[in-house]
Amino acid sequence: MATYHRFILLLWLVYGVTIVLLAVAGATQWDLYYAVFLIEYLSLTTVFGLLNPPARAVLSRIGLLLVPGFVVAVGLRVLDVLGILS
Amino acid sequence: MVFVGNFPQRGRRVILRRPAPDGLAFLGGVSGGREDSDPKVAGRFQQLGLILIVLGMLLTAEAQFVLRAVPMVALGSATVILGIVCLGLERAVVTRSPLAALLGQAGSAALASLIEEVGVEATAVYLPATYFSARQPRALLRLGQNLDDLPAPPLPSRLIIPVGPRETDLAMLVSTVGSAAMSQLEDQPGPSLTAMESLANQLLVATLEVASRVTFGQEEAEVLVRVEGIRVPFPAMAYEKVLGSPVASILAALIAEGANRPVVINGESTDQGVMQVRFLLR
Repeated sequence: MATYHRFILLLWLVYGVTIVLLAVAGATQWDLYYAVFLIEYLSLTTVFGLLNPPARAVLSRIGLLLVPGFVVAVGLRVLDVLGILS
Repeated sequence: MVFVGNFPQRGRRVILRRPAPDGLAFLGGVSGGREDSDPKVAGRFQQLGLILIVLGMLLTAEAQFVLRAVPMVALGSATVILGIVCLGLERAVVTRSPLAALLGQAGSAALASLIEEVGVEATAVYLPATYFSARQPRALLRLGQNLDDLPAPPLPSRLIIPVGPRETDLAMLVSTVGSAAMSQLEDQPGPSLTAMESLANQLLVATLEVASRVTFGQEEAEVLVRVEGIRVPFPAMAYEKVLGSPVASILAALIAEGANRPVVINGESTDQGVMQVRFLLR
């Protein structure tokens, strides 16, 4: 099995376990899920540092693409805590 | 220019009436570094990626506006992320096409015939790119007498070059799998063992996927390399006695580039998927 196949399978497995665990724990905030997904994604791309160079470049770009979503989620949460949204 | 050479091992006389072509020609497409993507594999990633993105978006919308279930929204988001990853990797997946494999086989067979025909028996000396005016690393194979002295750089990009005062002091410069693999490196190898080890892992584990771990060590003038989890899906070629196995050839070219010195494979052994190679810096 190629390394990128292992990466996709592991990412799929980790996301599945995360959703089940957080759902069982009663998490109802979407931004919490997203933050955990992002952390897991970045951790896995670091662990899989020995992917071929084009694959690593693509995965880094996808990571950069996911970060703004996290920033928006945190910003909305901050505004919510400050009572600006409500 | 006419080169006349006697090859004592075979007692043959070889005459090259014009400058020998670039040694790369003997390797056909192997050394060209051209990569073909398999449309079937690439297409599958693209299809999977698109399906996952569409499904994920539908699931997210359904979960958000109809079911109002956050875990389902998260599942939809995770599916979209996986789809984007698949779609992104579709462009990065590089596999060898059957044509590339045939070209490789033909090139290897041509090189094997050439080495056998001229009767080379001495171990190849891997020279760094700085030895050549064309800046392409190659292996030097001595024809005839086993001279210890190496020719001074820069060497021409020819197949056969004179290496001594007599007309029979000739050597052959060939591109090996190691020479070709240097084009796959992202960075220039540094002189430290750590830098070489890092690039060897990048090349053999990540890019070529023929090993699971490479470690470098030093013992006096020799560099010892241990390659774990080795998997080379090709039968051993007869010329490996001269050039070394493909993995040893790649490592020799890498060490020669890093140390910027000629390198000789001083011995290699494989036991239960672990290869140990000793390299001597000249």
